[in-house]
Amino acid sequence: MATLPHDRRQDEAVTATEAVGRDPEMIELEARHRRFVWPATIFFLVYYLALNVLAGTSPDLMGTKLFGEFTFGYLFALSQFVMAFVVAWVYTSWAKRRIDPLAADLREKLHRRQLKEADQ
Amino acid sequence: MSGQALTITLFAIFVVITLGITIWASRQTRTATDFYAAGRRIHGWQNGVAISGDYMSAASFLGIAGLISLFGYDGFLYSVGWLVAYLTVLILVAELLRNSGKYTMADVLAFRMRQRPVRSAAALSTVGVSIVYLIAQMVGAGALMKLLLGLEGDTAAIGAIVGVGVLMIVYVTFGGMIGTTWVQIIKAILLMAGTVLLSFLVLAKFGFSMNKMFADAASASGKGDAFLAPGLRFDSTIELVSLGLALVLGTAGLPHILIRFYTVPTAQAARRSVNWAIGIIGSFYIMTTFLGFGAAALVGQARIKEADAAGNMAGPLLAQQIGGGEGSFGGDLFLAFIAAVAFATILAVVAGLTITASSSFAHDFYGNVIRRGERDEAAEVKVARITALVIGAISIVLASFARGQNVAFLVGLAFAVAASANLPTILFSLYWKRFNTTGAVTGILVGLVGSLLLVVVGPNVMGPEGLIFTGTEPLFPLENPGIVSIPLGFLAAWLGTVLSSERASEEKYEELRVRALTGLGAEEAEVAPTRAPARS
Repeated sequence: MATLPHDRRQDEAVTATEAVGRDPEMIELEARHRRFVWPATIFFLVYYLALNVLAGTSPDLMGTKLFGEFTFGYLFALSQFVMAFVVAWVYTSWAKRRIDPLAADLREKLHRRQLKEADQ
Repeated sequence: MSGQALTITLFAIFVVITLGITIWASRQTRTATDFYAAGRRIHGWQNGVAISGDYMSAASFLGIAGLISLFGYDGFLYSVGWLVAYLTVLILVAELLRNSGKYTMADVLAFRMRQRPVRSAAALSTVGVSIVYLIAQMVGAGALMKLLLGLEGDTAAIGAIVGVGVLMIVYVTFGGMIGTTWVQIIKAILLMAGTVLLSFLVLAKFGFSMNKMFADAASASGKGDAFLAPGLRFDSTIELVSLGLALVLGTAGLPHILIRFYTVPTAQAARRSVNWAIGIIGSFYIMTTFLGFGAAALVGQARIKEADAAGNMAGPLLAQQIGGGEGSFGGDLFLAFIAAVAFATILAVVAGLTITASSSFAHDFYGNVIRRGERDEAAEVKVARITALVIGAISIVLASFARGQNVAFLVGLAFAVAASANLPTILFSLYWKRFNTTGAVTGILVGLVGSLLLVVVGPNVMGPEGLIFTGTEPLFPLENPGIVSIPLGFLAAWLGTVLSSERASEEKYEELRVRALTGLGAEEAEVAPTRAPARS
C-alpha cells in the first residue's frame, strides 16, 4: 500500500503544519499552555487531596462544629465545590484571553500558506 | 400487598413513558449513521447535559445516598471527588482530545503510534473499564427490582439482577443504539428534577433547617456527632488517599465520557460542555447531602439495611417515607417515581457504557486490527452487537457475585482501573515527546491488569469479608488500589518507552501538538476517511 501516490493535499498540510510548529507564535502558545496548565493541576490536586488526608489524619479537627451542626469537615468539603467552580471559571476566562486568539491566528496563518502553495 | 401492586404498576407506567419520550426524541433527530457523521454539530450545552447524563449513574443517585445514610460524612467524600475530577478533564484533556481524536479513545492514543498494538490495548482497556462500571449498575438495578417486587433471599436477588440486566442489555443492543445523546439528556433532566424535588421535601420536613437535619440524622444513626465527622467508613489515611486519587484522576480516563468530546464542533465547545457538566454535576452532588442525611434521619438505618445491606435503597426509601410512608398512596406514588428515575438513570449509563465498549471493540479491534482498516460497516455493526451482548452477560454474572456491595464503592473501583490503565497513556500521548508505541502498550496493559489484580487479591474479594476467597487473608490491604496501581500505570508507560529501542516520531508529535492546541487539521480529520482518497 505504501507505493500508492500520497494525497497531494495531505502532504502539503503536513509540511504546513511543520512550519506552524516552528512558528514563534506556536512556541509562545505552547509555553503559555504549559505555564498555566501544570501549576493549576498541582493546585487543585493538592487542595483536593488535603480533604482526604485531613479526613484520615485529623477526624477530630474535621468533626469540630463551626456553625450549629456544620462541621469543619463538611464546610471544607463544600469549599471543594466552590474551588472547582472558581478554577473552572478562571481557566475558561484565561483560555479565552490567552489561548483562543493565538490559536485562531495560527489557523489563519496556515490557511494563507496553503492558499499560496495552491497558487504556485 | 395491594400497595406493592400499585407501586409496581406506577413504576411500569413511568418507565414506559420515559422510554417512549426517549424513542420519540431520538426519532426527531437522527439515525445511527447520521449520529456519527452529524455528531460534531451538537451544541456545547447539550453536550454538557449529555455528559452529566452519562456520568451520574446508580453510584451517584443510589450509592452515595446509601453510604451517607449508613456512615454519614465519609459517604460525601465520593461526591467531592467525582466533581473535582472534572477539573482534570477540563484543564488537561478535553480540548486537546477534541482536536486530535475522531471517534474512539484509541484515536488519540494511536495518533503518533503504530496503530494495531495501541488500538488493541485501548480496546481491551475500554472493555475492561466498562465491565467493572457495568457490574455496579447491574447491582443497583437488581437491588431496585428486589425492593419494588418485595423479593427476599439470595436466589431472588440474583434473579432480579439477571432479569433486569438481560432486559437492559437487550434494549440497548437492539433498540437503544439510536440517539444516545437524547437518552442522556432526558435522563439528566429527570434525575435533576427528581433530586431537586426530593431535596426540597426533605428540607421542608426539617423546617428548612439543615442544622436540624444534621442533628436528627446524627441522633437517629446512634453514632451521635461521629456521624458528622470522618471515620465511620474509612479509618486509614492511605485508603482515603487511594480512593481520592482514583476518583479525581479516573474521570479523565473514562472512555464513555471522553468520546463525548468528539460530538462538538470546536475546542471552545468542548470547554463549554465541561463547564456545563461541572455546573449540573456539582449541584447534584451538593444535594446528595439531603438525600443521605435525610434518609438517615427520616427512614432510619434499620429499614435501609433491611432493604439492602449496602444502603443502595436509601434514596427510594426516603421518597416512600416522604410521600407518606409504606402503604400510603403518596408513599407508593413517590417511591414508584423515584424508582423510575433511578431505573432511567441506570439504563442511560448502561447504554453509554455498552455502546462505547462495543464500538471500540468493533472499530479499534475488529475494524483496524482484524480487518486491517478495510471498512465494512455492516460487519462492524454486527460485531458491535455481539460484543454488547457478551459484555452484558459478563457483567451480569459478575454482578450476581458483587450484589452485597455498595454501588458507589464498586464504581470507585472502575475509576481506579480507568485512572491506572488509560490516564497515563492519554497524558503521555498529549504531553511527552519521547513517548512511543511500546510505552503506550505496556502502560495500558500493566495499569489494567495491575489494578484489576489488586482488587481481586484485596479485602473485598479475598479474606474473611471477601466475596470469593473467604478462607485466606487478603494479599493486598487496600479496598481501592488507586495509590499503587495509578503510579504503576505511569511507571510502566515510562519504562516501556525508555527501555525500548524504538524511536518516537518527533514530527508526528509536533503535528499532534499543533493540531491539539490550535485545532489545525482537526476539521479535516473529521471528514477524511482512514485511507484518504486522492480524488473525491
